[in-house]
Amino acid sequence: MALVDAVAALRSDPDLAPCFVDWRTLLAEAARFASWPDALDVRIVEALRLRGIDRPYTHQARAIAGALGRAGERPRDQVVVTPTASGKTLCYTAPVLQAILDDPSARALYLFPTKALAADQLDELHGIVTDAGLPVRTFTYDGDTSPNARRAVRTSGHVVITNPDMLHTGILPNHTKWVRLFENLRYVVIDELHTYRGVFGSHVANLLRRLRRICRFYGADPVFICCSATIANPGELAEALVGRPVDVVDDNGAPRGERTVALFNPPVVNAELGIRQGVVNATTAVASRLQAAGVQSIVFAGSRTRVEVLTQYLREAKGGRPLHPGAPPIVRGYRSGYLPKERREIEAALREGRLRTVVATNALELGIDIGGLDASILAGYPGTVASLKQQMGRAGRSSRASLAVMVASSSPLDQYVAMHPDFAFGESVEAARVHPDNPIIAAEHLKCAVFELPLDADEQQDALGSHTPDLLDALEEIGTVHRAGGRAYWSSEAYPAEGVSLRLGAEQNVVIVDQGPPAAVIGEVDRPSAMTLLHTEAIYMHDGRQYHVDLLDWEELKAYVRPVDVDYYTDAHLAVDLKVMDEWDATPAPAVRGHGEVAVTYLATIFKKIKLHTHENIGWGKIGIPQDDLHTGAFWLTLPEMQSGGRRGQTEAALQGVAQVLVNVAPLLLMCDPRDLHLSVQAKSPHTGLPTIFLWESVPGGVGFGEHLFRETARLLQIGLGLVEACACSEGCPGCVGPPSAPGAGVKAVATEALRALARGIEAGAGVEAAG
Amino acid sequence: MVTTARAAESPAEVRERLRALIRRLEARPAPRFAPPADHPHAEGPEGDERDWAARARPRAIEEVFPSAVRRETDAGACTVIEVTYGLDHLVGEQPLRDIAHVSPETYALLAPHEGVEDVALGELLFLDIESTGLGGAGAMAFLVATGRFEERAGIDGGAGPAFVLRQYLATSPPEEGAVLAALLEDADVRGGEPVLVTYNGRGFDAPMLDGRATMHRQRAGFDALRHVDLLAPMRTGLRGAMESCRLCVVETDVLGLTRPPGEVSGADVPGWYFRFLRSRDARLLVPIVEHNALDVVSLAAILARFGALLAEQRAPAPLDSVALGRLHAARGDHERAAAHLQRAVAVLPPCGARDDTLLRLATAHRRAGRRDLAVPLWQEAAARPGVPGLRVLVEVAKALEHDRRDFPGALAAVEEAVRRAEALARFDPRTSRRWIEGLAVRRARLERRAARQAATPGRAVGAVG
Repeated sequence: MALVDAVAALRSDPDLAPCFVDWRTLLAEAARFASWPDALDVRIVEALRLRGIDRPYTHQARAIAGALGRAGERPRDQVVVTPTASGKTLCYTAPVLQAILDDPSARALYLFPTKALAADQLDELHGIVTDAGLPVRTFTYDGDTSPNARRAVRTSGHVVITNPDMLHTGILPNHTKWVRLFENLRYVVIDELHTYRGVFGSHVANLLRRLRRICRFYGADPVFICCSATIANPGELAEALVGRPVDVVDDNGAPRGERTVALFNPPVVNAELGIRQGVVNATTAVASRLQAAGVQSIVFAGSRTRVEVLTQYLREAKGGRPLHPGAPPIVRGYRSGYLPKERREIEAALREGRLRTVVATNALELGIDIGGLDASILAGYPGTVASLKQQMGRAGRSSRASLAVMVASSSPLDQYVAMHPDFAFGESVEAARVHPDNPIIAAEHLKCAVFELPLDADEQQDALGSHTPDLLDALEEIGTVHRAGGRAYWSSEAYPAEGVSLRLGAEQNVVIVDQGPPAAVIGEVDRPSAMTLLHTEAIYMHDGRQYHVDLLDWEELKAYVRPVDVDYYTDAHLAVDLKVMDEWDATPAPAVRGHGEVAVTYLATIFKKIKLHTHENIGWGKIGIPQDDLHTGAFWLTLPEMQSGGRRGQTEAALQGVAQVLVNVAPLLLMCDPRDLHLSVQAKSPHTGLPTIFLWESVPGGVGFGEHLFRETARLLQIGLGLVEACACSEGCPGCVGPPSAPGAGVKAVATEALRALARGIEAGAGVEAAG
Repeated sequence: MVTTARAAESPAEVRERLRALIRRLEARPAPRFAPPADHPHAEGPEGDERDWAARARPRAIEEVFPSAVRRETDAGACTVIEVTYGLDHLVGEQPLRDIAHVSPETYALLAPHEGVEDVALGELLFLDIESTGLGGAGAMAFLVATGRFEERAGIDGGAGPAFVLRQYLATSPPEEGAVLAALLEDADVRGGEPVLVTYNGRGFDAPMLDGRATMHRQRAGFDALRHVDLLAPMRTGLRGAMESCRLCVVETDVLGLTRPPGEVSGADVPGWYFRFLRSRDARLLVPIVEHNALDVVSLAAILARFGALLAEQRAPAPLDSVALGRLHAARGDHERAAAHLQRAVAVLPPCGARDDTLLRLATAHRRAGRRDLAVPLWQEAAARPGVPGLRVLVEVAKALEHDRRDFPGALAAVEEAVRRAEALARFDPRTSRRWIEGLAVRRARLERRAARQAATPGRAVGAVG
């Protein structure tokens, strides 16, 4: 078998073998089957048989039975937590089809985080329904649905597949047009539940509160079926989102082939400076061996630029060329920025085995059906263990053996993982947190809720969390809510859902125009990324082809490109600067800290031209794009200047170390996603005049994390100290104060000392306040 | 869920913090509430909310609208204002009396495919709503006006039809349910199946009322009624000939209405209503109620006007002829279209609307099989200097290319246009360049086609005429 041979070859390759720092084999597990629940209609059983599913796995049977409910009992909400490719879809498809066969007026609503996943699900469901000749109509409803089709979706769709954003701005605020759906809603399916965490998850939790209100109005009480990738707390997350206890189904009965897992730490190329071979070249080395051996692989590259570089390298490598000149490529890239049609083609080519290697961003991490591949290669640690497991899980399906390799980059976090394989391959994964009662998020959704349906007296207590009464009073004071007859009415002409985006970041995209002839749009890239990818004179790579950007029209958001063939690529530098715009609160010395609004500016400054393969710097240029601003909330904390005995380097080390600890633990305190918070360190901040650590939010305007951290600084420091003291490392690691810049730098010691001093300072400050 | 402990914070502090937060959130969109200073209903010079309250005692509904009555329904009570208009009532220059001339032909022209040709006058339900927003479940219909022609005793003792306007007003948000219930009772929507007459009611009023009924757990069914939506024929007949196709523009341009001073614009209606809700000063409702009444009466007047025009009981104004001509053309009756457009062209002053009408007349002639009548019109239009002439030349080129496959002729027209666009460069270089660039594409294509046609002489076409 090709894979076994390929693994053996990797392990014996004189160049590569020494770099594999860990090999482990996860044993195959046999499938465990159960029988179909009695309540399931024979037509469904037959339809599934037609698709090659004779019996359900144990977890499928349990989830289906739970969602159908026992005779005379209410069905129970479910969250199914099993690895990639374990047949999660069936867990909700079967009960939904059953409900529709029992009662043709029954309806189901599916929520997927992205349009691509929704389209994928539509195809799959459509396949089952058509094969079996079941009278079930399924539609997607999103921004791409034509106005003419919308009416049909609203009135006659049995299964409506949409995304949270569309539910938020399109469906709930117009629920009177969806009477048929809401009156008959039996199931709400929430797939990829683990993606709803942090700020986005907190928004979705409030969105589901609104959904349940509307259901109650129409007399419906749908059962929620959620599916999640492996996280530490699926039951807790599902309960926080759905708003009531949920049964956890995590007894995976799906078979798993033997999986070989390996960690590859690239060779040291400069021993004096401790520099290792770059992750791109190292990944190319590993992936090209597999490619040459005929192993079908997926390569996860961290960034879009990396996707393109790797696609090109692998096309040039052995086994990367099509058999006949002019035949379609067998190595392809896949990332956001490709048009939907192109993506569907790539997915189909993968399933049908026409592609040998696909290089993707995490866009392919979620459940898009691409079939089982032989190997998964990760160019760098994806940031969380949950993501790592998802990406590795893309290799292997049913009982076939598979290989997963993580190639470490030189970043401290990657090096930490490379040194601690148990961290990555062990049992522990991160917990997903949401904070639906965050007052800013709840306030935005409260407005939407009042708009959708006046709040009655009971609902005015807690419809959107504990702050509801106070928020309503404040909204009434401003005039957007009017109370009459004991109910709270919307009294503004605004359409509140439009002002609230569930996700981070701007929605504006830069369109990429190949000037041709014939001129054609080849893709889109979001605005912040365009600064570094599509600036004038950039080499933009798309599906392994090089384009020269002749002009980036920043006003019109268009980049005009033409295909070229050059031996370099461009790498742009993005400078991030932070300024305090407004201080909302602050404490005086000895522990100076504060919170308020900051302006973060991104400025693409210069770009370098880097020669392919040798990675020499062969030139540079200036980027003439105006800077982009983000105004958001932030918390800041200063370090006292070191005592006269302390060296300047120590202050710096302490500042970096404390900052690293705080950004690591702040998400625990805030219960947010690590990505919702960013770190900036200023050795002497113009605002405070002191060494200052800024923790700022990703969301424009912020959601109040800064204030939260300001009020809870003592606890923040306490958790941070606890983490550092419990950490087994001696000199610092990415899990606590960050890795030492050089051995013996003593980061951990000075940072710990600084944390203690800060904690004492806060205590003293509190004492001063109490005394005064 | 663990919520964060804010142990040190008192309830009052929490409240104040949340208030401050809401203020910060709400500071973003600019409010649009203040009525214009010179408005007769605005007593304060700047219209500031507190000044307003301080200077004048709020007036109750019955003080401001003496004919208002409270109406009890199963869904609570609302306010109803009823006004009867005699048939001598004029909307602008248009008397309601002309409603008698409305015939099946009127409906066939204004609302084809609705199956309303046989409808009796008494079945018509003129309707217009005022809402607090354009869409979504949070926009409520707080004022609904209906109009019907009903038999009424006249002042002289005899009976005859009169236009009875009823306005259903929710004096607070919960009363919307009663507004709908009263409306449904009176209009007999479910039993009698009236025919709606609205302006954009297909897209807005009817679905909105049905949606609002759902919100109040009532069933309405306005969307299923037969419907004369006058927006459609006004668009067909007059788009481009008026500043826009909004009802207030039709009222001034077609009916000859002079807008009352300080009239509330549609966009300001929600703001005025919200101010009323807070201040309870019914004077704030006056401009809304007047505006709403006028819109419904205008619907009757528009229908009456087209009835009279088609019955040839009223001499058409230039815009009437334009509209009639275009409506006939849309139905495929090019001979009648040509007659109306001819009349419009004869009386319209030289302007954009005339140029457009001239071309439409040419097209009507051509479609009616009278190309001989079309060509001189084109030539006339093409003689106009500047951009209008350029447009016509392009039209001529299109007609010659696509209808007659006379590529050399079309090419000649384009070349003439290019010459003129070049001449324009001295006065307006940007426009000139844009035209030259646009014409270059057309010219290149025509040259290709002309060359190909020359190579296959069998497909050549005879001379124009």
